[in-house]
Amino acid sequence: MKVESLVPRSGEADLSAVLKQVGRASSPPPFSEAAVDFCAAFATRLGRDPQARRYPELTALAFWIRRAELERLRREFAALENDSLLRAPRGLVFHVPPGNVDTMFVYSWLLGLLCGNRNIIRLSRNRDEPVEILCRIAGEALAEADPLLQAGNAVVSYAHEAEINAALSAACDTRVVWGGDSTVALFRHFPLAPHGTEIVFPDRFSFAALRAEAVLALDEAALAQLAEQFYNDAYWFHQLGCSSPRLAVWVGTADACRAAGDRFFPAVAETVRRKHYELPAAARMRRFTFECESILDRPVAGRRDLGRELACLRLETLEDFSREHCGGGLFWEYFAEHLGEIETMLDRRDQTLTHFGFPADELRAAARAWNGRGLDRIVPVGRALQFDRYWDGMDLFAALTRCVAVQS
Amino acid sequence: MSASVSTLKKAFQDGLAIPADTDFENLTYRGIPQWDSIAHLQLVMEIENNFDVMLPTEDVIDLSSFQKAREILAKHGVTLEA
Amino acid sequence: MTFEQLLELPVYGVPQADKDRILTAELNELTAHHRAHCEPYARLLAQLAPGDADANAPWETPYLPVGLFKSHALASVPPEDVQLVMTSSGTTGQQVSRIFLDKETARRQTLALSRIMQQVLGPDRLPMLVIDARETLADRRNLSARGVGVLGMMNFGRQHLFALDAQMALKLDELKAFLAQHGDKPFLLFGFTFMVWKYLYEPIREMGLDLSQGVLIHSGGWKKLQEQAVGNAEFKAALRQACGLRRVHNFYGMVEQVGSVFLEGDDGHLHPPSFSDVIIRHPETWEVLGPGEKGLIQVVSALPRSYPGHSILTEDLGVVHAVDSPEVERMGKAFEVIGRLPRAELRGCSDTHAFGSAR
Repeated sequence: MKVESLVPRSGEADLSAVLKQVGRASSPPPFSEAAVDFCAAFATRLGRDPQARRYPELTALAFWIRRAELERLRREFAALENDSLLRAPRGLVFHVPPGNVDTMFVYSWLLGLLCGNRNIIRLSRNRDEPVEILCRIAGEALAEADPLLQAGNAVVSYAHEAEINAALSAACDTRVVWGGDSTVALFRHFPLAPHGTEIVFPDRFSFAALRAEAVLALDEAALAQLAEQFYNDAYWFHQLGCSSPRLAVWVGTADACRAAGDRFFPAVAETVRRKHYELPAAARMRRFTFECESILDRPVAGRRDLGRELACLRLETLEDFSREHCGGGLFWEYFAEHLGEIETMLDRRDQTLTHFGFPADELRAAARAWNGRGLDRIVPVGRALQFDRYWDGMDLFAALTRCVAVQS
Repeated sequence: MSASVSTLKKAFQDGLAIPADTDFENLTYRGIPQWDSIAHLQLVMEIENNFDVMLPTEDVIDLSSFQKAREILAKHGVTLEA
Repeated sequence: MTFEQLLELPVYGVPQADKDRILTAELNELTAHHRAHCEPYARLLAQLAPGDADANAPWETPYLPVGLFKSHALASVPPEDVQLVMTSSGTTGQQVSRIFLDKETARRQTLALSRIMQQVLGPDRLPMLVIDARETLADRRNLSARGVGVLGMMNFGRQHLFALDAQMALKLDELKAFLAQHGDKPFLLFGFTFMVWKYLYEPIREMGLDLSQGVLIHSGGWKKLQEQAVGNAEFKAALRQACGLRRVHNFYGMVEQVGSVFLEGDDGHLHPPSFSDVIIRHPETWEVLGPGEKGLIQVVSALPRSYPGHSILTEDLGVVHAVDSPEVERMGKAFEVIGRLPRAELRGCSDTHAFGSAR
């Protein structure tokens, strides 16, 4: 079985050779100096690469794996261990990142690597420029890294070959499957080793809650900043990231909610223009069609048309709220009197709530009240896409390691 | 540790992609179009790399002007000389 | 203006300014009609174009995306008045448009089409070669777009011969007999562009048949032929050389606006008839564009009364080359269809199409 090897070397490779090499490499301990140095070097190269700097999501990735952040992660990891409990790597981790969120494979890979695992990452055949940039820089950084890491990590690409998926699934100790419901369902066909574990990331939905009075109280500069943060959350992945907000819940009196929306969305549209966000013509067409379908099928009570950049449909109720969405700058709006009102619409697909204008204790109280329903992350507007070890309700440090009890 | 103020200027120049003759002393976050939320991340990385420091999140948020950058560096034991 | 008065206007003889004025009134009337008789349309308008203000120009008429006719059944007549449901072509599994016709709209379409076709065919019905198989019309109650096209055009011919069998093979002996009988006087050929090329032109290319008295009307788009680097010019040159066929007219139309077809004139461009028009919009901003600028095609038509399809934003790209050009005898716009909007997959976390099936 042949695969295309992308990192550490590019070219055709035999799957069994890749498996043999990665499988036989030794595992360094979690947060080894070699692993931290490699990630930091990756970050530095990525941050300075002129080609990479054209993509904000690559800058955000570089920031996330810079040395200061790695140091923070290392301390957090250390807190998981004590005198009688060690955290050991799972072994070989097979990563199936989403084909379409370009940076995700690096987050997935590096978390696996920092935890001490050996890693095989499967990329799809259709790769956009950011992925090619990342593979190039990863290759450069790995070439200068500890040979242990060079032997124990491989990024490969192949088409739909079921045999390869099956072989890697059987060989790995942990399989990490991104890419939503369909990809998760597909990989369930490929058995894992009896001891194998699986981390899956199914389809998710995310939204924002903004306190109307707080938005109305902003001065122009602060409004522009909030709009830019919201833009970053929503538009980087055409609003199709699992954490991208697609619904804006305004909290306040109906008048305040309306006024806040009238102020906020034009500012967002202005940011979208300023950032030269490009929505493909076909995607705008699909958005418009989806809007029309929604007007006919959902309790739509109002619409904002801010041209190419943005459209909003206000929903009368969130009862039976359908999470289907077209992406590309369409926002549901809903006016709520209290944050607690959204409780009944929440379900397990809901991942990230980005918030603005709420006191911390109100957020914590809400999270507690909603605990049996949904939402895995409650973060300020602007941090929707900020990846973290806690994702989709899991602690990935814990999921990517084993507990070893040591009693003396 | 002491370093040159020109090193900090260089970090701003590279991080924000701005010209060398910028009025650095009066630079503020979002005061110029180039210093947006993404360029801010670049700036932090440049400062960290050039001065070999690690800025915790509060400093990252606090870093809102050239002057602030001096203060933050001082806090991390870096004094700047002209 | 009554529909009959509208039809009396010279099909290609109304200057654009007059046409804009006439169509504005017709379109406003249709917008009000559909708002009153199609509840979903009224709901759409309430959001897309709040306020009941009339449009001041055809391009101000609210438009629906062509895809909406695929997902929703939109009719402005009660179900019992629906005479025919037309569906668009589509590959298996794709949703197709459903267009609801009552007696009146069907009549309008037939009359309108006949006015257009008379411009190139003359007043008489001509002997007709259908470059298709009779089986295309097998299910009259549930016609495909191709079937609707064939059936609609058959009105303009007589002594029809379906030139293909069910396997799309050319019935050569019958074709030769047809030509022996009718080939020395004008006769009509009709078929879909790709089928004319593949199932008529290609088999007879080397045979030296004489089709020089024929008038070919064809439609269906160039996508498949573009793969073989065949455009309108190549298509016409090849037919002329192979069998002397000189009078070849392409047309652009869609099942969502049957009757308002845009027929190719002697200048090689498409021309809207007096009762319909095209508006070109910027592909991204949707601002109205002037001549020479490529963009999305919006089609407006005074015909549809039984369904709210009088103003539709298509997914086709086109360009207006001239307006009221003195060089051709046709007033109004002369335009060209360039192709479809390029597909674009937005990237997201959930990639339904990233992996094939498990097999």
